[in-house]
Amino acid sequence: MCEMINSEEILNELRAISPVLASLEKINVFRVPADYLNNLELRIADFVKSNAITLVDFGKKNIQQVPEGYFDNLSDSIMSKIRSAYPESFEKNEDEIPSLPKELKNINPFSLPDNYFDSLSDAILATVLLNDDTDTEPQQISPLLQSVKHINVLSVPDNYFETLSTSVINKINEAEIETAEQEIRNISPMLYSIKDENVFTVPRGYFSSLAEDTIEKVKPAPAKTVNLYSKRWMKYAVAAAITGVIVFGSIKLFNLSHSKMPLVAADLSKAIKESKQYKTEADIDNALAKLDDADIAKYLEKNAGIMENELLINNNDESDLPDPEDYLISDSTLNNYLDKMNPNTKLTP
Amino acid sequence: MTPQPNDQELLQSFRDPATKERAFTSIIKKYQEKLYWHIRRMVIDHEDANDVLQNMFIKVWKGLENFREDSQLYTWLYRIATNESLTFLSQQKKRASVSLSDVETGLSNKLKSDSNFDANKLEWKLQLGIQSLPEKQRVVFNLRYYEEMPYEEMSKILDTSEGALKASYHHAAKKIEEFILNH
Repeated sequence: MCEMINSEEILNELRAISPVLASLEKINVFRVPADYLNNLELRIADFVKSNAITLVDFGKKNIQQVPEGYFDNLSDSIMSKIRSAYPESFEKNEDEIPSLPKELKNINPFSLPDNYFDSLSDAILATVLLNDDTDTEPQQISPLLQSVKHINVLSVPDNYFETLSTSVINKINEAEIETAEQEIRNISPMLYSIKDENVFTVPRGYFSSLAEDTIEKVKPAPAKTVNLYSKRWMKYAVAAAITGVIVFGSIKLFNLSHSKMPLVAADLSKAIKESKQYKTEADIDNALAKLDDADIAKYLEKNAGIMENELLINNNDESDLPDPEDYLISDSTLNNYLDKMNPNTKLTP
Repeated sequence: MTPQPNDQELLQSFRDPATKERAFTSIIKKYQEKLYWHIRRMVIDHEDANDVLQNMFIKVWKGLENFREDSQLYTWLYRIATNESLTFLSQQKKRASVSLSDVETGLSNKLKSDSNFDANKLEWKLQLGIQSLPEKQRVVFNLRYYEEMPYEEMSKILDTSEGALKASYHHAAKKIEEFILNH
């Protein structure tokens, strides 16, 4: 057996890398023929002599002398010896290899069963399973053990696995909250005891309106523009100029005491009668054409209190304004309007 | 009952001009109480808390479009609420041109001027004790004590390590306890 010298350091290094390797016994597995090492030196000397290599007589000559041309011819000498000893290892010159037709290269002389590769994986698996004795091995070892293998004596509560994930999540969450609670309980039981006492009050309804109030603050306010030259607005101004006495009168009627009612009612009747001639948009347009802008302005200036503010300020939103036809053409509409103003007064055209 | 949309859905809705306003309203309703109390415990007065809260949501309206979602929405909201509260207190300091301790005294006085104030009750002493803490420590204590916020989340809001927050909270709790026992 060959003795191997190991330093402690190298052994420790090996132990760190692989304790398994470090624990292996250092056994030499290579065998040497019996008595090989005995007289080996004599056998090597004979071999060298028989192969015409001049030995240097170390005792007598200058050992540094080498025959002339030794190294120049050394490689050829060695190669010729190798060729003679192992002729089959040498490939012939390319010139000596007969040229083969190129077509032969792609012709596969070997045949395969049909669909061999398609079914190869299944065949291998079948073979593996056939040779798999996992199920039968226990039977072979201990039929008794095999017989009780599938009998489970440990019971599980009903629906255990169905609810397992939920209960784990809940435990995790409880652990988190408990940690904060447990923490303050450990730091200061007194602080823990008053944790839920809230001294601050909040105005009633605060949270229910907070979102809307905040939205109002962040939304840009719509710009209000006043268009005094809207044709439709002018029509209303004209209608008011023409039937202004009705509006003026009706409001007065609404606000006056009973004693003055008959007088105003009479004027209203006259005005209603007069307004009936303006039944179409064309009628209004014609009337508008006759009226002076200055007159309209003066009327409006004088009776600004009568007109609802929305008509003057928000006239850009014409959708809210009633159609002129609604209260100019239909007598009943106008009457209904006046009736609403004072239910005690029934005016007939 | 219609399930509440999650934060991801709210953010998506907010980015659509057609649903922006509705999404923003939903965000306010979802977080208003938590954020309100977080602010109120810092500034004490309801009117001040309302101002800070509304300013905070105005900033949210402006900044949510560019919210990078590298943190949770509520973490971002809490961060804004905290900064707005601290900024408000800082502005009060400058306006009053008084020292920090005087401002804290001012907040204590606000507590004492509450109609329900009772110096003998523990819960009022607790509030006075909280006011005795430095501002940032106050935030740490409130978030952990009242909202039981995990240190990990608190760390993202306050940009402070968890270890530092734990130490701060422990010190704060001990200081408040000592304050209560001595008053």
